[in-house]
Amino acid sequence: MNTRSFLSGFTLFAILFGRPLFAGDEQIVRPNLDKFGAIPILNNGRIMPMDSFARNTLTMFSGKKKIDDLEALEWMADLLFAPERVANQPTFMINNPDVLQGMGVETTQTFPGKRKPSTRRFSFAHLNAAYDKLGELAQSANSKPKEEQDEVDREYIGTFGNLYTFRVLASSVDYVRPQSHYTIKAEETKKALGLPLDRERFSYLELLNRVDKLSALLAPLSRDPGREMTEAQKEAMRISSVMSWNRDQLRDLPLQVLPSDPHVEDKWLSPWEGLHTDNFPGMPPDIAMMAASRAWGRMSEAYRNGDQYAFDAAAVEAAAFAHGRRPREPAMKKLEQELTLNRRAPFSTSMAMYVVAMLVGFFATITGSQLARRIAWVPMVIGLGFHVWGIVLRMILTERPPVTNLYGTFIFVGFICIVLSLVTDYFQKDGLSVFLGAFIAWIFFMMANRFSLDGQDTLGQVVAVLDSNFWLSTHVLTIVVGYAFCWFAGVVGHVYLVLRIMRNRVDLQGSSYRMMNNLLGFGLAFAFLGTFLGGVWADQSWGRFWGWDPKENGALLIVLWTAVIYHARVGGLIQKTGAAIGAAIGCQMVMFAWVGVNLLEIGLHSYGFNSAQAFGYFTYVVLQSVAIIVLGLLAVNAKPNKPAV
Amino acid sequence: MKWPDLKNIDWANIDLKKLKLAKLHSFFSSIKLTVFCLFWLTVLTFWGTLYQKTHSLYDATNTFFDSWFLVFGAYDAKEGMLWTPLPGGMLIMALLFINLLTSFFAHYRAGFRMPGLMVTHLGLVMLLVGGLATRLFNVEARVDLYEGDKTNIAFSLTDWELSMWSNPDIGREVHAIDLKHLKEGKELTVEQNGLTFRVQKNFRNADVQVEDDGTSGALIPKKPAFNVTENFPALVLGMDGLEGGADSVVLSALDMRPRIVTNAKGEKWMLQVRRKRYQLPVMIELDRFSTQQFPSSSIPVFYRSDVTVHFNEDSKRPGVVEMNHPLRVAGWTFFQTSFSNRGNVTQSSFTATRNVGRLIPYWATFVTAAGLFAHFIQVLFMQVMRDKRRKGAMA
Repeated sequence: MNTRSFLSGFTLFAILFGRPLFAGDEQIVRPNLDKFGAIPILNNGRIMPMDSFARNTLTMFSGKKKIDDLEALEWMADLLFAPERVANQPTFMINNPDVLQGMGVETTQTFPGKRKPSTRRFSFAHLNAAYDKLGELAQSANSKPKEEQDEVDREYIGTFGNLYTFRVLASSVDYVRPQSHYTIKAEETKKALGLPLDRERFSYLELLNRVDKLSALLAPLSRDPGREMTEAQKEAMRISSVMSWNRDQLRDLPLQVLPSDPHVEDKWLSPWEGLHTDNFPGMPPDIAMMAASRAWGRMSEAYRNGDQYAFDAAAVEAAAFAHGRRPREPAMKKLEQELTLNRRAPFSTSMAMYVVAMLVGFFATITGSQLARRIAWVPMVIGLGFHVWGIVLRMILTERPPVTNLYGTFIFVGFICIVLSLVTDYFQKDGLSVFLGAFIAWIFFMMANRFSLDGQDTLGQVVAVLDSNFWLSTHVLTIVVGYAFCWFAGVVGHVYLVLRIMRNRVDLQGSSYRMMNNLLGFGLAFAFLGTFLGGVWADQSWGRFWGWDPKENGALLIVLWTAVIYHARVGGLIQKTGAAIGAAIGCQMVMFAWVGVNLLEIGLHSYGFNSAQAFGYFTYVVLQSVAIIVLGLLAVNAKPNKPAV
Repeated sequence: MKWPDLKNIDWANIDLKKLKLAKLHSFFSSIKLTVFCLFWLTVLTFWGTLYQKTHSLYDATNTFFDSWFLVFGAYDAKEGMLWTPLPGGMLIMALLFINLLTSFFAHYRAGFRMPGLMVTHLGLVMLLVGGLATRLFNVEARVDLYEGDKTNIAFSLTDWELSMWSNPDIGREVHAIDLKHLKEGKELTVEQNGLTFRVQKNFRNADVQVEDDGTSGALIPKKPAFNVTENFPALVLGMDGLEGGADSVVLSALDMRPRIVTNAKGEKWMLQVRRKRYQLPVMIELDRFSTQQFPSSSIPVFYRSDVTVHFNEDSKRPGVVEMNHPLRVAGWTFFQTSFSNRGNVTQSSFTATRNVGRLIPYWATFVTAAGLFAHFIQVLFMQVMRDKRRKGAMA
């Protein structure tokens, strides 16, 4: 049996038997979720499709885009409509075991079908046992000044927030599910309320539909308060108070899918709140919204029953309600484009193309084959097409220039590096820049991926201080282009050192050194312009051109370091190898300015970084430092180049 | 002026004056000095950035960038702490400025072949001049206003002053001295009000035991706060002939009321440590503050203050201070900084700045960047042409 047929056989086996075998429960039939994924929702000040909300929420909880084989949207549907299915999934990421010890729960959890116990991801059921304790710890951590909060404090606060969000999302449409606190045993009560006699548990909605009968049952008590209550009245009284407690508790839920009438107020409500719009003081009852809430209820029931038609019908009704309420809202018109960005994933396609280009480009560089070099251009250009498409989609969705957050910088720097590599290769024709450009773009896509996993909306609104498309298009883009040039130059510097150690391919040494020099030169120009345009923006916004803020200093470091390399080279203080080492160190300067200073969490620019990524940054610093030291020492001590054959 | 060339000196008939000048010129225009200065500025910038994690931005700026020297301490088991003075940011930038000017004169002929480089370095000279002008003449202060209130006073968040006035019963002619100028041991007589005192202590941050009359008692010195605006300085002033036989007065920024000092002759002075104040040339009145957040989030869309600018009794005009859109009036610029709510009343806070050299860095930026781009485009163009010639020769 060859490898291919073995893999096919294994895949078939896994599809047929894997899930039920590993899951250990009944086969779950989920309806197709396309219609559900397109429902608009307001989250963090932005209208987005449910699909994006699901992705953001899952990455915020777990730092992953899917849980095992469960896609984010499937997970969200389970959470909203059948939360018991996801209560035992490895959903919550906790990095620090001290958090678990503080909560008094096991620091590992074993999941069915997994060989090793999980040390970083835990289920809702596992953590919920210590929910109250976690609440106390989070409150205590939150009471500290921000600069005194440590990693554990931040994780207490974050985990509690996530657990709370999970709980309220799970309750958002639970009014259609029979609940233990709505148990009615007395036949007399059921008859009085017109409930089926063959059940004891009822849903909130069933009782809400009979609220008139409930009131009628209790009416004699209000007329004659001293009168002794019947069993039915006692039960009705209890049910009534649980219902009003339930209604008061579930307010401001994060599932904001029902826009209120824009003529009355600019607010979005959850299906739970939408059910009670006849109870809002000073407002006319919103019958359409109450109907939409019931559509959400039908969606929940259809989902649990696996009824595709009923599910889609309810989803379409819910979406139509939202669209009808906000027909002229620009964001509502862009939901399809956002779904395209999510589902077509143009950046994933370009990443795959760049991997192919990298391999072919490497082959072309090693062999000097012009044919391979030309072939490498094909995936590069296709990848670039998808890359541009993704960037344009993001620009349309945010109505902003391409870079508004850290995620955007990685994507954009990758794009610049690809363009640079193609331009360079057009002149140098040695395949090296194609290989390097694809390699760098791939690295930046990986980093963007990593940064997107912190759960922050990568298309999120910008804070007021950044709300200037002019400065975002000038200062931010220029400095980011400067990062791209200098980082590319640094990578070429590494390659030059390797070639110098190998002592052959003098042609590549020459072309790589020249490429490095040119990239560094334009990098210096862009970094300088970007840095000091930032000064101009700061002067316009804060009243001072320069304040030695960490982010300003980071950008200045790139400028100063590049200037050091140039002047040292011009003054003869260093030679080509020294310049290459300097350019390689420049990569560290760029990363410090780009990512590192945000770790300090100080200064006016400290927006957009999650300290959970600190480990990745320091790993990068250490690995690259070791590489520079080793390569630098070997290159400095390398013998003269071998004569060309 | 023609600079002597070290290589072509007639050593037999050496002119010592010229030689010293030549050595000096050679040192200041050397590229080694440029590399050293740039490298050391890189180190300072990196160090000063990390320093901000444990100290304030204000401290980092004073220690690394606004200083001529910084003192670096290292511990030695035998010798204890060893302190080494290292060049500070000011010294390095001054050296770079001299280096730029001298090398400009030394290399201007070569520069004509590379005009981009000349323009770049000219831009850098402008940038350093702009930085110096800002350091010397920039004023940055704060204006806090409740809706409906107006003021022509701005106050510093970082600097404090000792304000004094005599004859409190008649009226106020206030004299103020910046606390930075009140070094310990200094003796001062304020001619305008005849007050004489010695500075016994000047604490940058201190707690104070408040007496029953609301004035300061014993001082408890504290470490400077991480956030420089949270420092509350205190002074102990030695005075002779005070009523009641006391020989010193304790003043704290935490005092809510000025301290009345009376001497044996019955002369009275009012003393207070307060935030340094600046008189604005106009009166600013806050009409309305408004802010908006994106729905269902705490992300602000905008902050905006509608104000009225009073030039004098008869002349006024409306203005708006908004994030990214400051109000410029009478040489001052007002920026929206923050806001706070107290009950139903909203307070809006502005940063007010006055900087005569404000536009110099703007021009410097564009000149330098233009020079850099021109230079590297020229280099690239020359490379491409050289390659073409080489290929042509090979063919």
